[in-house]
Amino acid sequence: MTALDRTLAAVVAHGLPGAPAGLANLRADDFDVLLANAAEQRVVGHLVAAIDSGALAADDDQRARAHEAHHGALALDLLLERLLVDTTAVLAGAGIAHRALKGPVLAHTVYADPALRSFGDVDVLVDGARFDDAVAALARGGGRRRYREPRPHFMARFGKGVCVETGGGLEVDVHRVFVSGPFGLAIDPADLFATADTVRIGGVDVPALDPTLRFLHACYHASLGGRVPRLSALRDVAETARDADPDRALALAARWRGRAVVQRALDCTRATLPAELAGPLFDWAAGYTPDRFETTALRAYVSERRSYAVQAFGGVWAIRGVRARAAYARALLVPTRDYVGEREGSYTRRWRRGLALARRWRRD
Amino acid sequence: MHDPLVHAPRCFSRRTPTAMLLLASGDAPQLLRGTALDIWDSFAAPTTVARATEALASAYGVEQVVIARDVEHVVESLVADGLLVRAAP
Repeated sequence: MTALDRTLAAVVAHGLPGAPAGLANLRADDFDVLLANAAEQRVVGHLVAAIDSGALAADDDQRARAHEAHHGALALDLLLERLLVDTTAVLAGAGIAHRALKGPVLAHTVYADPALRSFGDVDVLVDGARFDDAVAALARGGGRRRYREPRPHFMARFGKGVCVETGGGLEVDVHRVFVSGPFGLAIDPADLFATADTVRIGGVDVPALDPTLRFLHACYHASLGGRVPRLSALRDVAETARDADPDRALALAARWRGRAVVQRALDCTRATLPAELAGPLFDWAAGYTPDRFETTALRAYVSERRSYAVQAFGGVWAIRGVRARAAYARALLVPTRDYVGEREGSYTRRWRRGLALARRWRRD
Repeated sequence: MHDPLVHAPRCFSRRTPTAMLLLASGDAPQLLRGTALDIWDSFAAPTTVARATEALASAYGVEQVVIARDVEHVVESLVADGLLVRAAP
């Protein structure tokens, strides 16, 4: 971690208990890099808050440029919130149970000011039984599904979800569960719809996950969304941990064989954000030892060989039931001709690739 | 413009220390600063442009004629983007 990385982490921690009240002064060119990195990580809101509070020194020009970048991010946030509300209306109109996820929901629930939390797309969780109906309903409204699935109904049964591009160039990620691969397949989707909350966005009540599920989703996103967690994802973990019911969160994580996911999210948050992050969840994370399934499954997400293919292969072991496992394996080994044509080009090449993945998986 | 106007019920917004961004039915959010923000805030409850102008002139300590054109211009733009709508009778 460079000094500038540490400064940005401190900026993102700004406002949390025990976060540094004053940050080191920056050279002009360092400020430019910090602003670019903050924009890339979608944390310009925190940067502006740190500047405006006096925690981070900035001259008038730097302050103005930070505000301008923030206004650009907020303009996109508003367009996405409108898209979310429109998406919710389409799904509700089709009678499809759904929950808004991530950015807009967190901005309006756990953050002190929604202007702190920017986002880049819209995420909705839909009931797997109506997954294909949901994608079709959005397509009727002008959306275009971005990727083909290996076999019909694969995503509705086994996938994380699909991305639907709208005519305006914005994206709606339609989720069945939080993540792809073994940890996604181990989640019982029924748990995600067993409770409901609503969040008011743009004067409209939008269905959302309850606070404990919001925390778990934040953990899955922070832990498994990339090899190195994004700073905004870690701040989400810190924010959502406050409102989560620790016992219920850990019970659900155990049911989903994902306690290591929660532990990694909490540990990374505490190790990265300079703040006093305490409470029963953080205490638990300090003492938990992942089991064999979790240790193996984590590799598909956080090792250097992280890829969708590795996660898909690792998913075989997370599926409950022989029939379901066979259907999953069949879909991956013998997908439709169109699917193979878009990817490997031939079944032989796909099987060779699968074999190589299996060997690598066993070796690791 | 003689009818009472009010904030649109379906309106997406963010307020920062220096500005406010608003979006209803327009193609892109509107960025309001300074007096435009005061004009927006004047319509939190239903009111006419004339009454809003009168209140703002009083608050700024100026003649209504000085700000009337600016208020009208901002209101027209807010109405065009669906941010201000006619208040229910």
